Amino acid sequence: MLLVVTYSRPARRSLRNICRGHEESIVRRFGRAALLRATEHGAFLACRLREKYPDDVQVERTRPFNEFADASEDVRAAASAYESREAKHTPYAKFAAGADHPDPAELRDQDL
Amino acid sequence: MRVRAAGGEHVGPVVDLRGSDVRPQELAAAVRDPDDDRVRCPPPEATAVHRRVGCIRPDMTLDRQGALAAVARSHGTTAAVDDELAAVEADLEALDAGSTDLAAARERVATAGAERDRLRERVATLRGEIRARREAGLDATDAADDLSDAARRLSEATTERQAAIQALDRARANARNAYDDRERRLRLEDRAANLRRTARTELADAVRQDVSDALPTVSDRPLAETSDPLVALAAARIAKLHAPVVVAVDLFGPEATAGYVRAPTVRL
Repeated sequence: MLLVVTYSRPARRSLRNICRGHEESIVRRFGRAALLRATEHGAFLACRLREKYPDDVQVERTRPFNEFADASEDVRAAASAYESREAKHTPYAKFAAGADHPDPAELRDQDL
Repeated sequence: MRVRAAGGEHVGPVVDLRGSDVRPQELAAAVRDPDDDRVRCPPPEATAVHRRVGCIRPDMTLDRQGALAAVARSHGTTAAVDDELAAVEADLEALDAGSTDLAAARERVATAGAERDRLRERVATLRGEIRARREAGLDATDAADDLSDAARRLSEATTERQAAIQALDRARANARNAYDDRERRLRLEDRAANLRRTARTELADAVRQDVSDALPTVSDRPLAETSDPLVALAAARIAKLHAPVVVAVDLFGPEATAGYVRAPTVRL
């Protein structure tokens, strides 16, 4: 999908109008952002917006996130263990230290 | 007030130009422009409220909230949120968001990638050609020269593609900061708009009754059902107006209009 994010009032208004007028190419709306279908038409709408507001429209392309293929087993295990922890108020860093899970600083340094 | 129009010069607090082909908006513009000699009037020059209700035409539309708020402000009335609004506007003035337009950098990456791919294919094709010629016992020298040339160009293209990708990555990182600033600006602009709306409501509420009370002279309907020009006329009466008002609606004669509006008047 194409993620379109606007950064000014006029650009936001234009995005709203585009979403209203082209529902078939809009997957989801979030106010000043929207997910568009990754079709030539979606690209067309994104490009139009960018032409109109070259500095106030950000467009990224998304891929479905498959945690089994894209993230390591350590990360999945850590997430699962943390969410089912007993002590509700323990921050993850502390939790990880006590239980052999990757520490957040390490995780931040590793690209997917 | 001194008005030079319709082939003559008119002096006095009330000027009657009915039947002339002077256009109301043009005259109002002359009123508001201190350098426009067609209308000379003592200072102070036209104010914000004059821009809203200083030119009354039968086909005009009126932003009622805006007009009422301007009427209130013309009397020096302030809104409780004025200070906060001024602070937000000052913050906005101070913000200087950088550009985020990376189209050129992106195009460089796309072009470099396409060129590298093209040359990769060319190298593969030439390799195939050389192999075929040798297997057929033919001379492959020319093809070998072409291959070495293409391989060199492929190497350059690969380097260029890498450089383009790195340049784009750096530019994207910088753009993130510019986007942060723009987001901050958007939040401030939204806040300013909300504060302006709050101020307008408070100010309009402060004068609505007075304008309503002035209405019966010009309209037999309540405020909500009265047309825009007549509401504008009543608002002009309640406003503290210095500059001459141009009135192009046919309700009263010039003297009576000036008396109602309580300002120098040009009737068209």
